[in-house]
Amino acid sequence: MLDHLFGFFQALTVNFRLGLVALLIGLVLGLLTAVIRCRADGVSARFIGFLIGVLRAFPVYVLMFVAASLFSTMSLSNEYGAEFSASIAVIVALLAYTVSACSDACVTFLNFRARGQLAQAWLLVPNVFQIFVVTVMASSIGAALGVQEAVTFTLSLAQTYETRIERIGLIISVIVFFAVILMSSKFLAARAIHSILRRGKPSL
Amino acid sequence: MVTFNIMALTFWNCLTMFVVSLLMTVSPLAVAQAPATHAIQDLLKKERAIGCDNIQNTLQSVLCSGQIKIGVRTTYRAFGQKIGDELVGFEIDYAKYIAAELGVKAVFVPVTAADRIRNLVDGKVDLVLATMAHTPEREAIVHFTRPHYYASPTAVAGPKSRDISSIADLHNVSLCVPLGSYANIELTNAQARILMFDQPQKMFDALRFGACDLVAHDRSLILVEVTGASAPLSMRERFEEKFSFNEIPWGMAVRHEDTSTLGRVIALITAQAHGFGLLQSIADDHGVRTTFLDEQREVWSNADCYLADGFFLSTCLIQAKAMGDKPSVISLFFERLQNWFRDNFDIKRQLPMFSGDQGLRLFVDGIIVSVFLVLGSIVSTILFGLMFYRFSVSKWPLVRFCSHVICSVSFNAPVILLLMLTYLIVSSVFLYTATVSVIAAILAIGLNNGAAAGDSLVNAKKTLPTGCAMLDAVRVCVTQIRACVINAAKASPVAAFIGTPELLSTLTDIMSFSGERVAAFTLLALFYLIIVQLVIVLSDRAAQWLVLPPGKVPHA
Repeated sequence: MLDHLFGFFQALTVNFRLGLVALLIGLVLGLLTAVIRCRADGVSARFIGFLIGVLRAFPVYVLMFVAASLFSTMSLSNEYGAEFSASIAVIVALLAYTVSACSDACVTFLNFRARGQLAQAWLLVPNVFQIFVVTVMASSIGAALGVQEAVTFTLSLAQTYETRIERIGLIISVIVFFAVILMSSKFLAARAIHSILRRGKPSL
Repeated sequence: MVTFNIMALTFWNCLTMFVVSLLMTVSPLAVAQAPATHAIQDLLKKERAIGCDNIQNTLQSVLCSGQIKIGVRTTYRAFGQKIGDELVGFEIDYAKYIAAELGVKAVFVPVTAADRIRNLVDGKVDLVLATMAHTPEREAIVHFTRPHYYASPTAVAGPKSRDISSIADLHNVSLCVPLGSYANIELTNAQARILMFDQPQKMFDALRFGACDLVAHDRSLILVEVTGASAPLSMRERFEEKFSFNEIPWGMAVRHEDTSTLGRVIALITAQAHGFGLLQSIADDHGVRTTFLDEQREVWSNADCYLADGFFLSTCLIQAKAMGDKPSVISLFFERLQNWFRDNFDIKRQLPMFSGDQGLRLFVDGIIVSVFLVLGSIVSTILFGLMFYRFSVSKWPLVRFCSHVICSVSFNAPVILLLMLTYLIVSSVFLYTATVSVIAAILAIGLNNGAAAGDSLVNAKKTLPTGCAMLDAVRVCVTQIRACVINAAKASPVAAFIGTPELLSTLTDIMSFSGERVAAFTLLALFYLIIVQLVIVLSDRAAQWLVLPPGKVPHA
């Protein structure tokens, strides 16, 4: 039992790592695209807006398979192994979400900042935290490529169980665990938003 | 007659070949094979006599240059593998033997499953000896020399703990397969979840780290990589062969114009090599001996198979095995289209989802299922959202509490786990079919996104006066509900995870036997971009129609 728990938490760190990398790259690209959307001339801004729209509409799961297929033809998986290239495919897929979400959040940040509403502008921080939490959860799609993250670990463990009821019980437990983590994160983010807005009231 | 390139061979190979050449001259078998031996001598003598000033065919070119360019695999363990700077394997040793028989040096050119035929047609190699199955489709492009030098069935291997014994057990099992193998057609018919790899090593790596439940490949390779005595201990302890199917002969190929010259010499050399047991001996060296080689030795040590003029009795030869997809009803149009793109833009893409019968059927089915899945996910998202709202205003506290818990948990759970949960529950009640998998996926995606919509509706209700209608709550949070509907459409391909035959699954199946990835993924991306954009536009229209006019406030 303890071994399984240890294994699960170890696998969960993979979700956090994937989420963090996707978020950091998404933040950099999101900020760049947001600056162009806010400050560039009409054509560039519209073009970037269109690209962000495409990314927003692209199913992450499909993008992951496209990326995985692309990497399998490159030397990437030869040099670093199949698991590494699968992880990179998951990160690339998550970027479709993080880049578009961070870009939107940064546009809001820049607009509020330009109007001098700093408290509202710094809602960027809890927003980015929310994006991070969603990205960590979404990284579970890596299970389809066999990335050894928490959902893959859970499904592999479930396969060792004899009865269907045991498997269902295990999956429900992990679903509840994820729900508690996500709800706690949202609660913390909501507290942060509340605190920022209260502090920023005079500037409203 | 036999000339060895001694430097290129190992001591034991040299010894084996010495014994074989000795047998060729003194044994009764030599008498049986005499027409073949004479035919080889006559052919080589005739080509050499023409001289090197007027080279007319590849055999003359090979004899004059003193080297033969042979296309071989470099990543296929036990058959053709590069270790350090050296190439080793069954095919490498046999290629050296052929070169020695011709009295020339073997020059190895690395080829892959995808480019071996193109390299031969383009003249980059003179002969392909690269784990190539003999099929009528390939026969139309290049000439396969017969007798075949090897044959292997497709074997399926997996963990010893898994109870799988036939193709029928592969339904919804994740299966790693080599890209572009015709054997995949049968595996896709069994509705296995296919993961493709263009190099065998990557595939076995994926099996090792658990990316797939099972692996399917030529038994020859499964033996040396996974289950056989020469496989790594960590693999053979964990995995075993579950079953095998579809034995296919492997052939060496030359260009069609070389059929009667180089092709004929190679065929005669191979018949002799079978008859004297040389191929068995080389296969033993690399741990890949099969019953096919034993049967072929029987056949080619029989004098009846050799005709007086050095040709073979047709009943002793094995025919090519038809495995490819049959042409579809619209294949002519798409072949013309492919040719037009190739001639005008140098784009050499294939469209197997239109030109092949099985490909077209899978593609159309995939589109129908995907459209139904998207529509179903949207409808179930809205229904689940309204249901959670309805329960949240129930007069019974227990119903309200349960609804709140289920809504919060479903909203915050990874969709893959919800899918697996739904799959386990639904498959315990119904026989798991494609239709049931679609319904399970619609329920899971609808629950996940509907919970978010329900949460928004409950929050919207709190901002409204007591006694407001449900439609008022919908109008207040129409933007959030629209986001949930779009997310449901975007999430629909995830259904492939539980074996739903939607477009991602079916195109993956088509790619697995056709090898065409670029066209398939382009179509897939376009399809989902268009369908999600359509949902965005239509949901925007619906939202505009639903939203309250400015200044109008909902009232009880």
